[in-house]
Amino acid sequence: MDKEKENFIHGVFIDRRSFLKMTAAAAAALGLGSLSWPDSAEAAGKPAVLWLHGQECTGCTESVLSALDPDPRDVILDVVSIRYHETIMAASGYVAEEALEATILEGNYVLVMEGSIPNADDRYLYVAGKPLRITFLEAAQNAAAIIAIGACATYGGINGATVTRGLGVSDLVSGKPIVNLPGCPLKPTWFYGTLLYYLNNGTLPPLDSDLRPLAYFSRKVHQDCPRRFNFMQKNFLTDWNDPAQEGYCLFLKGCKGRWTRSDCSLTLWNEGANTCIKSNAPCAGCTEAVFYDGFSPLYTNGVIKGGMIP
Amino acid sequence: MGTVIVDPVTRIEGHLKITTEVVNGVVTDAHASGTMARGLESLLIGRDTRDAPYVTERVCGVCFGSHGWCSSLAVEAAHGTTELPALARIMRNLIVGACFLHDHPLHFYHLSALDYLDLATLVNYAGTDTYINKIKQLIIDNDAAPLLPRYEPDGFSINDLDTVASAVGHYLDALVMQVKAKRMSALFSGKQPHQASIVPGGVTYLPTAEQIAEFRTMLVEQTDFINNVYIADVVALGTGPICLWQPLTWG
Ligand code: SF4
Repeated sequence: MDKEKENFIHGVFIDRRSFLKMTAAAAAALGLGSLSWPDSAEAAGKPAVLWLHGQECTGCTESVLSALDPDPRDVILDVVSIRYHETIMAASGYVAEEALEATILEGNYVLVMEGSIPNADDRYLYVAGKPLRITFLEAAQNAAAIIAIGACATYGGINGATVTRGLGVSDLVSGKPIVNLPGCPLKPTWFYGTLLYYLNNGTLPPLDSDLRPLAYFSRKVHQDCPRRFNFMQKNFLTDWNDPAQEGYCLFLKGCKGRWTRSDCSLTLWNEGANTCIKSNAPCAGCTEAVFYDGFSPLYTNGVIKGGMIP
Repeated sequence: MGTVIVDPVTRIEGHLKITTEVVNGVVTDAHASGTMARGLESLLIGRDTRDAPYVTERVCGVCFGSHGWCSSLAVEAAHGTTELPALARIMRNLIVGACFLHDHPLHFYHLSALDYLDLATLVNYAGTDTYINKIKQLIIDNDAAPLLPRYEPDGFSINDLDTVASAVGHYLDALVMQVKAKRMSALFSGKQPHQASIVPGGVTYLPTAEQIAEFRTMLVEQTDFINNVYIADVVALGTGPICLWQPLTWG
């Protein structure tokens, strides 16, 4: 492939260095040898993305934009064509809604869903004068694939426990390729890796029974936890003020790592800066379907709901 | 003109609708409606109080840190705690302070500025900035989502090429700076968005010397950006519309 063509991704030049970096990181995360953004000859324009916000806090958008690899500037300008995204799009009001409707009519886009859909009553979430549930179902209908991001959009999360009874994507839609990237929020590598895999292969990566990519969710936090030795030695932290308990297992502080599948212990957060457990805080189990209610109260393992027995 | 509705109001956290009554070009009445409810408040009734900061933190994923911090203060007050250990107070201030470095510029550049800049002006850009040239090409190709389309620029929009190019350049720089500010906060708090280390009674974590050194280095970079770029832009752009096409009339 000549150099020019190689650099020419979906009609837009991106800096070759960041392209290679992006590709390598995402491929490594999925345990695959090499992946690249699809060749521009095969598709006209950048792949269209519709990004809907249900009952959410925008923390997942913030988390997707918490990586330097890929560069957030490339994400917004080069990687995909973000036709609708309430937090970053310049349009508002009817201009925004027209862009949404036009893209839905066009079809064949990737639908990213952030936040849950209220099940108790549509009036808990209206956008542009209609229930977000209706807009979401219309957008899901014509989507090529749906990526549900965060605990709320996957399994309801905290909103699933409130009077609004928030539901995740797979509770409302079937017969579409759906991938769940849970977490409160999700981790950016999960999003970029999954999107890149989909754009390369036209299919979603191998998923578990909760529709999570096996590449990121096959191991439990507990299996790779640096405090595992202390767990086995029954060295449990009971007092955060006691220097002698430095590095002790957080089980008695409510750690849900034993029931939680995620690569947090391996790849950390914020580009390797830290994790909940590394900062002495118990894992809240935010990537599991029973989160939040099934794991509450979070800071003790005395009471486990949702069929969990310590 | 009658009733003018903007729904959704974008570039905010959450879901907002604004309804205005306009008579002879003057707004005579206005209503703001938050169009989403999650029920986080009632969820907390009867729960273990230690869950409150975790749940409350998730009120907003843009100004994260603040809500969990305040909720911890509330739980502490409810339990009669009058004083925190000094180290916990300092750690909380650094964790939440780094969040402020993240979300104040983000609010200015990414949430507000696009209302005041006529991006289409960039088709005339003749400079060398890679990213601005990228945007120029995207505008020419009619593929500039999510930056375009937008409402038709009005008399409040800035269409001076140099000003727009400089502001958009800083919009892009700030996109990188906010990633780094999140990392700063996460060094002491586990992760961002939605820190893990602030709990009722204090903070769970004592950072390592390396983490404190990295925090310091990153702070210098943030301070440079705030002093040399952000404040100048706030003074230049944020003090009011630059080119009023008619005097404001108060109805
Ligand atoms: S801290 Fe949590 S994940 Fe780590 S060993 Fe203890 S129980 Fe397991």
